[in-house]
Parts: sequence; C-alpha cells; structure tokens
Amino acid sequence: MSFTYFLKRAAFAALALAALMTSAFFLVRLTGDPVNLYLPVDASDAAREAMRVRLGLDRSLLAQFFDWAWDMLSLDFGISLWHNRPAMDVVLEALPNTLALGAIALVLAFIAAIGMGSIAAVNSGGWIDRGVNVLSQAAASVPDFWLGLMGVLLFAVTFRILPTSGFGGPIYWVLPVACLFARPFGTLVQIVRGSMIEALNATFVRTARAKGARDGRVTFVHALRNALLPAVTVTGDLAAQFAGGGGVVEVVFGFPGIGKLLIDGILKRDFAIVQASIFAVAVVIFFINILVDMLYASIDPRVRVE
Amino acid sequence: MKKITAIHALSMGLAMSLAASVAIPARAAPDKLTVVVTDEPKSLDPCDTDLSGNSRILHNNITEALVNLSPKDGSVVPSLATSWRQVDSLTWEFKLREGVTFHDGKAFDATAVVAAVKRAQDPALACEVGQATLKGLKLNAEAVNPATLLIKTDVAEPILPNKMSALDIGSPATPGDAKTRTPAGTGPYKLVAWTPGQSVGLVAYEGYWGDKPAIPNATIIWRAESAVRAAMVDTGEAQIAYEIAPQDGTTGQDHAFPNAETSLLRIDAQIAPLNDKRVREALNLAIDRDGLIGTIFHKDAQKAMQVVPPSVFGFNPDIPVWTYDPEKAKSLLAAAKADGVPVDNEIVIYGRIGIYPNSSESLEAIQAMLADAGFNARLEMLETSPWLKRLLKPWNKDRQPSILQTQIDNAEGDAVFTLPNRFTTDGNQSTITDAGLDKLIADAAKATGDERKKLFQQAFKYIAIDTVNIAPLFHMVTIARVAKDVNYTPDVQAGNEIKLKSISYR
Amino acid sequence: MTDRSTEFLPAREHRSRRILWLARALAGDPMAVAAAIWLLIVVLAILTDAMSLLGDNRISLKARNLPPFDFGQPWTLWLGADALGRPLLVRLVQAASTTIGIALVTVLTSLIGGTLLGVVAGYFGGIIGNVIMRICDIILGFPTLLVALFGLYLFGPSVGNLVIVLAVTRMPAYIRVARAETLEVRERLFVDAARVFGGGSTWILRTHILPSVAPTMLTLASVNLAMVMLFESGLSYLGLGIQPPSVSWGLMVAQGQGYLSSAWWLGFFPGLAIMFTTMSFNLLANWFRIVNDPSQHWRLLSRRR
Repeated sequence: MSFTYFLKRAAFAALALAALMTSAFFLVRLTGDPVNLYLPVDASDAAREAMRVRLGLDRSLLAQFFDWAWDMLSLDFGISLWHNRPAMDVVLEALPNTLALGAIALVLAFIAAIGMGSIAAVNSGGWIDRGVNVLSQAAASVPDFWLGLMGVLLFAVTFRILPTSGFGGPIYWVLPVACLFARPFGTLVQIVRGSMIEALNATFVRTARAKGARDGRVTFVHALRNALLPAVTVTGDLAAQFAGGGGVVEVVFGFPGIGKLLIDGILKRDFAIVQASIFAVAVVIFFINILVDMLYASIDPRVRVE
Repeated sequence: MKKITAIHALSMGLAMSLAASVAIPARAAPDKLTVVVTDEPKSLDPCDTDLSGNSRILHNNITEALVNLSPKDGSVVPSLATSWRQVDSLTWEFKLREGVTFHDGKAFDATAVVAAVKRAQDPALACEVGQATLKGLKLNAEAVNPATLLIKTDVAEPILPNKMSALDIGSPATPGDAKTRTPAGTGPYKLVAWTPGQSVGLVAYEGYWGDKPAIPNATIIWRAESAVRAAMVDTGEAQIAYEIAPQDGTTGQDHAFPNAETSLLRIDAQIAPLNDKRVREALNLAIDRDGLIGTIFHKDAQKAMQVVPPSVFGFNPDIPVWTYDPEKAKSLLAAAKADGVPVDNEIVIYGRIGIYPNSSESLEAIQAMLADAGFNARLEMLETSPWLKRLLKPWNKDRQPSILQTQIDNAEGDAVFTLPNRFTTDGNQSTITDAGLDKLIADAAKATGDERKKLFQQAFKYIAIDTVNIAPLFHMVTIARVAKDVNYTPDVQAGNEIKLKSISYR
Repeated sequence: MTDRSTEFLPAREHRSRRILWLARALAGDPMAVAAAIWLLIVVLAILTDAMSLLGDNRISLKARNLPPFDFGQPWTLWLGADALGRPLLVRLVQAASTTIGIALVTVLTSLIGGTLLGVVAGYFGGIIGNVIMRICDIILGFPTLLVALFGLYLFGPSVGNLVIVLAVTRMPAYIRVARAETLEVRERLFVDAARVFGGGSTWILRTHILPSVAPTMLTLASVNLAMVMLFESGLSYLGLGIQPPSVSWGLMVAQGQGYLSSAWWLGFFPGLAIMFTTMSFNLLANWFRIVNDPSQHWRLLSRRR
C-alpha cells in the first residue's frame, strides 16, 4: 500500500470524523441538561443556574459549539462530569479492555471457524456437516446478553467455578469472551463451509478428480485459501463493530470497556465522555479497516490496493 | 500508536485467556473484606456525602463529622467533637477531640474544621452538603483555640448539631478550588485507590483515634443487578452485598433493615381530574398495599401513612393507614363524575427504572389495580434524567394529569429535611399551594422540643387527610446479604454508611 | 436472473410451477423445513392470541414466579408464571407479536426507503447522490448501538421510535447495495436503448432498474430480519426499546435478569424463543438466497448424492 493512498484515505477519514463529531455534539446536547442529575434534588434554583453557568450551558448552542470546536482542534475533550477527570484519560483506560476482549473473541472465533468449517466442508452432507451446521446456526442466532445471563446462572451461580462479573484476572474474561465469541463463530463457520464446498465442487477440481488425481492436500489448501478471503472480510466488519464495544455484553458483566462507558456516559449525560469515546472508536475503526485491506492484499495478490 | 495499543492489548489478552484455564477463583482471606453495592460512587469528596452512594464509602470510614446520630434513637452523639452547647440563638460552641490526625499527617484542629465548613458552602464547588443538607443556611465557623470552635448561623437553627452530623471534615490540604478524588480524613480507613469503573480500595489507618478496625483491608465494588450481587456472596467474591431484591433475599444470610426511605406516588393535584380530592382518595383506596407486601415488596416493609419513617422526629403515629376498598373508590369516582369531573381522562403513571428493586413490577401491578377501580391509567417508565424533569419544577402548564413514583429519604432524623421542598408553595417538588400548610411547616421549622414535634405531626396529618396529594406506599427496607463467616448486623443507618470498623470475621 | 424459458408461459401456470419448484426446493433442505414449521407455530400462536383464545392474562400476585413444568396446572401455566403471576406462555406469545412485528416493519421500512434512496443516488448521482452517500457514511461511522441510543434518548423509547431508529441504522446498507446495483444496471445496453428511445427517468426506473435491483435487495432484507430482531432484543434489554407494560422477548430477558437465581424460567424461555426465531429467519434467508441464485441450485438438489 502506497503512502499517498494512506494519506488520501486518512484525509477522507478526517473529514468524515469532523462531520461525525459535529453531529455528535448537537445530538448529545439534545438529550437534555445534565444539571438536575448532578445536583441533589433539594438543591435550589440558584444552585442549578450556577452550575449551568459553570458548565457553560447557559450560553447559546452556537457559542458552545465554537468553543468546543476550538478545543477539539487541540484535541482537548474536556473534563468528564461524572468521573471529574479529563474525558480522554477515562476513555483510554477503557479502550484497551474492549479491544482485548473483542480481539480475543474474534481470533478464537476465526480459528475455530476455519477448523470447524473446513471439517464440515470435507464431510459435506454427512452427519458431522449437519451437526456443525445446526451448531453454527444456533451460535449465530443466540442473543449475546442472554447467553451471558445463562452463563452466569450456570457457571457462577450454580457451579460456582467462574466469577459472576467484574474485572481482574484471566478468569473474569472467560464468560464475556464466550458471549462475544458465539455470533462471529457461527457466522464465520457458515462462510468458511460455504466457500469451501463451492471450491471443492469447482469445475477444475472435479476435472482433476475425474482425471484420477487423488484428493490431496493441494485441493484442500486451495479451497481453504478460497474461503479465507470472505472470512477475513466478515471478520473485519465484526472487528469494526466490536471496536464500538461489546455494548450489551459489557453491561451484563460490568466489564469496564468502552461500550459500557458510552452507555453510562449517555445515561449520565456526560457529554465529554460520549464525545471522546466516539472519537476514539472512530479512530480505531479507521485503523481496523486499513488493517483489513492490508490482510486482503497479502492473502490474495489479485486484490490491488489502488 | 493506536495499532500498537491494540496489538499489545491483544497479546496480553491472549496470554490471560491461556492462563484462565488453570486459575482458581480467589477466596476471601481473613484480613480482607469485599463489599458489593449498586453503583460506583459519584464523588469521594468529603463535601459530597449527601448522596448515599458517596457517603456509604466516605462517612465514618474515610472521613468523619463532628458528631454522629445514634442508630438507636437518632440522638446526637460525639465523634470528632466531644461536647457542644448553644451559646445564643445564633451561636453554637463545639469542643473538639484532641490528638487526632488526618491520613495525610495534618493535625485535626479548629482551623481544619473552619476550612471544611467554608469549603462545603463554596458556591463554585457546588458541594452536595452545602446545597442539600445545609440548604439556605449560612454557617460561619471561627476557631477560638485549637480545641474550641464557634459556629454562627444567619438564622436560628435549633437542630444545628443534627446538620453537623452530615458535614464530614476533610484534611486542610484538600484543594479549595476543585473536588478531590483522593480524600484524606480522620476515619478508621484511608483510601488506597479508586479505580474508576472497578473498585475502591481501603486500608486501616494506623493512627486512628478510636478502636482499630478488625479487618485491615476493605474493597468496595459495584454491580447493577441484585441477583448478581446476591450470588457474589455465595461464590465468595464478596462478603457483604447491599440492596438485594426481595425475591433473592430469602435465605438466613439475608438481613432486612429499615433504610429511612419511604416509597410513595406523588399526585399532581393541580390537573383535572386529580384536582378533585375525591379522585385522589379513590386512587389511594384502589391500591392493595397488603397484596404488594411480601410479593413485590419485602415482607418487612411497613405500610406508610406519611412520608417519613417512625424513627424521624415529627412522625405522627395517629394517622390511619389507607384501607383497600375498590368499591368505595368506584363510588367516589362516580360521585366525582356526576359533578362533572373528567375522571375518564388518561392519567400517566411516571415510574423510574430501578428506583428500588422491582420498581417497574410494582407500577405494573398498581396500574392494574387502578384500572380495576375504573381509572384510565397508562404506565411510562423513565430513566433518571427525564424522570427528574417530571419531579422538579418548572412544569408545563398544559401537562397531562399524572402520578409520579418516588421515594423520600430521611436519614437526618428530622422532618424539616423532608417537608419544605415537597409540600410548601415554594418547594421545588411540591404539587400543592396551601398558605395554611406553608405557615404550619415554617412555624415547625423554627420551633424546638415538644412544640416542634406537635407542629410537624399536625403538618403530616394535614397532608394525609386534607390535601391528599400523595399515595404513600411503604416504609422501605433494604436487604443485605452477609457471608456466613462474617459478623455484621446492618442497622437503620446502613443505607447511608457501611460501618466497616464494626465488621469482623467469626 | 429469472428463468427465461418460463417468461412466455401464461401467468397462472407460471405461478403454480413456481410454487411447486419452491416446495421441492424447501423439501431439499430439512433445516429450512424445521425453520418454516417453527415460524408457522409462532404465527399461529400470535393469531390465537389476537383472537384472545389464550384465556386469562390478569395479574395475580399469588401466582408470582410459579415454577414451570407443573402439569397439574392449566396448560397456559406449563411454562410457569412471571413476576406478576401472569402465565409465561401467554406473555411469550404476546411478546412474539411485538418482537416479530417490529422486525418486519423495520425491515420493510429500511428496504423500501433504502432501495429508493439508493436507486436515486445511483441513477441521478450529482449533488443529491453525494449528499445521500455522505449521510450514509456518517451513520455507518457511528457504532450502530450509539445511533440507536441517541435516537431513543432524543425521541423517547416507544414502538414507533424504535422502528424508525432501527430502520435508519439499517438503511445505509440497503442504500449502498442499491446504488451499486443501479450503477451497474444503468450502464447496460437495454437501459441505454430505453433512454435513446426517449423513455422518461421515472419510467426507466420503474420498468428496468427497480426490477433488476429487487432480487438482491430482497435477499439482503431476509438476512437483515434476523439481525434486526436480535438488535431490538438487545435494546429492550438495555431498557431503551420496548417499555413495560408492553412486552417483547428482549424486555422479558431483561426483566428476568432480576430473577436469575430465584426464577430462572423468566429469562430463559424468552431468550430461547429469540434464538429459535432468529435461527429460523437465518435458515430461511439462506434457503431464499440459494433459491434466488440459479448458480447455487445444485446445493438444494444434489444434497443426497
């Protein structure tokens, strides 16, 4: 990938980001005034007005916008109302957790799907294939939050071998990872299986077989390569989705990731947190897309990055 | 740079998940206690102890006030002050405990208290204590000598010592121009770390002036779900879990204690048909409170007739509890209808998601009860921010008739902390304007002793019988689950403070 | 795309042949058959409930959290009762109509809206086309959950708003595909010819572009149905979708969470229902895609080799 291509793409992304952040600015302010949430219900009207003045919420929306835009240019995301700290600091603490959670789930799902999918494809039509098919369809259809709750019920409440929720050592990652694993796994198995069957049935393979070539590793590797490309595409899409946080799953497990931060941020009308998280997520998505393109090019030389 | 973070995180995560297969969940060590509550504290600044989520961690653990309220009878008992007296109607004198030091090494003396009192009232800081507990009252503290303090008030305040029990004293090194996240107080525990989104860690303070706590390390964590909190005690992830829902709090480890909260429905008495007293009475008669107790609400909850629990000064024990009488409710509605009251107008029930356990179930049940009595009621569950908009003035003139689910807390122990804002014309949550009641409440707030009690009791009776702008539900209980090997019995104040130093292992 | 040889047959024969072919194709895929049966059961249950044949659904606090599989009880209580003592089975059926109804309306809205906008953007291009595509980019730049959160906070959680929000978040995908297809079709010979012979834009769009774009869009819609259902459940779980006293499967799971250790069936059965229904939609969407793509028909016919 050439450097100019990267620059061009980055420029487009920056423009889109600016539009995104601007709309986020106005949208988040339309959700309502945070003052009531942050003062005791018995606080006086004067105290409420004082807080509004302190936060600059008494000025016109346009004046607030220009101030904010100026701060944005210097990458100043402001102070989080709830955390009482610079918003970007809070976001940068949560982001690695989310990225690690998503990456572990996706990598595991990818590896498992390649294995299961190809086994199913080789045994196409047999009972293994059918079993894998039902399992993967179920995995692709299960609501992640429900899977999480049932996991807690089974492994934490009943068997007591895993913690119910929270954050800490590796053991805390098992259930959240398992929940986020299900849907990508199901989807990817379908894709790998489908494209491999297609490849194995392709005319030239059949021809080769008809000519007496044995089902060798060459055929299999060829078919696998054929399956890899769509699988990478879908994984890339899923990665971009996960960068926005395993949203619901993070909430179920009280996992301190960016999805939970965002939802809490909106619930608590913490404008700075919402804006900083959107920004961070958008940047991550940009890099994930670049990464996927690079992977593409390395898997399939025919794909040219222009 | 982002990519590096991602790759780093990825490799770390992978390593962790590999290790996960061999790890065993951590069990409690005898020197360590974990408490699970509902929410992360909003602030750990010593001047932000009005919100129970903050005070649970701060009050009497990290920071202390001049006095405490006794959990037995609500009387004022010494803490950082050893004695006090009223000098004149506007002046109080406090003698301070000597030899006390803050966690940061600074000495506790009268100048430290002066600074803390000033800080709590600083409008720029917008402290909770200044805005809620001390609301409208100006305190001016003066250090006579290191162990003697004078507090002057701008108006007569007969219950100043009660109010001082809510004002925690932080170290004089606490910044004066910003809230702190690392409070230093005089309490039995000092803060180790507040990891946002995860936990607050405390460790016993060596230099504490009183009895040393039995358990040196305490961690406070938070989980939103009652079932999860309850399960955490069973799995050993926590030793004490607060606010367990009634359906989970059925084992011998679960202790129910009154939490100074009273649940009620506030009736918007200014909008037809709810501006007719008969309709408001019918609404009260239509609710089967006995049916709700022991099912959706805990069996130990008490049917309420007023908005403060019996432990509060001014509580009136002689107001009859509403009976369940749907037939009478129907006839009252019919009578109102005959007089042209538009009783068929749709009434909105505004609920707040998670205001107490089973809050939405309780309203679904009440909505069905109201419908049975002939009300046209629709339920709308709101998240906190829009709910606050309905709770607090100003309201739209052409609003729909509505009733609002709310809960009033009075841990301070005096009716004056509840009444003015909710039942006087100027109150920011009041749906009534009644000059007589305004005067009654104002007179009561200025009075002392038996006169004060009598006037407040009159006010509660007047609200219950003459204005009927509330449908009181229950004096609530909180359920705490305590691990079998832990020695802890929650008291009436447990909703607002976790007395960590009183907890020990068996 | 369609089978050219049947194009000259009388319409009725064409249709009956088509149904026969669909039936044969369905029989070739046993999982699609199972999916169709499950959806049929759900639809029948919803209809029964609509005709209020399911009996009493009143709140009865005495029957609160009645455990399931007590076959001595009336059959509506065989799956237990919910936190307010209502039969869980009846609640599940009521929730089914909300959940599936919302998914259908949402998909239809985004299908129609997305196709129209995409075709317009592709066919006319220019400023309008650019504006449409840039708005799509912005919506896609937000995490989907966030768009939904914003929308529901701004306009308040209600069934109507939920449909709009879900439709808007899904629409960019339709617009992109529709635009790409249109761009391709526009350059084909027969459209050029139509233009040369003086066909108006509307006429060309209606007779040439839309019919060519439709099969792809329908396939996309069938895949999306399952996705939207899951998404609605997730939002309701977060308390942003359906609000009580209305009920949806996602909301039932959310409410069941409070009873995880005291009454597991409250959250278990609705989640299972979501899974089965989503799975059925997915399976039928797969099947539908294959049926619509002649190059893949072998998958249905050569299954038993």
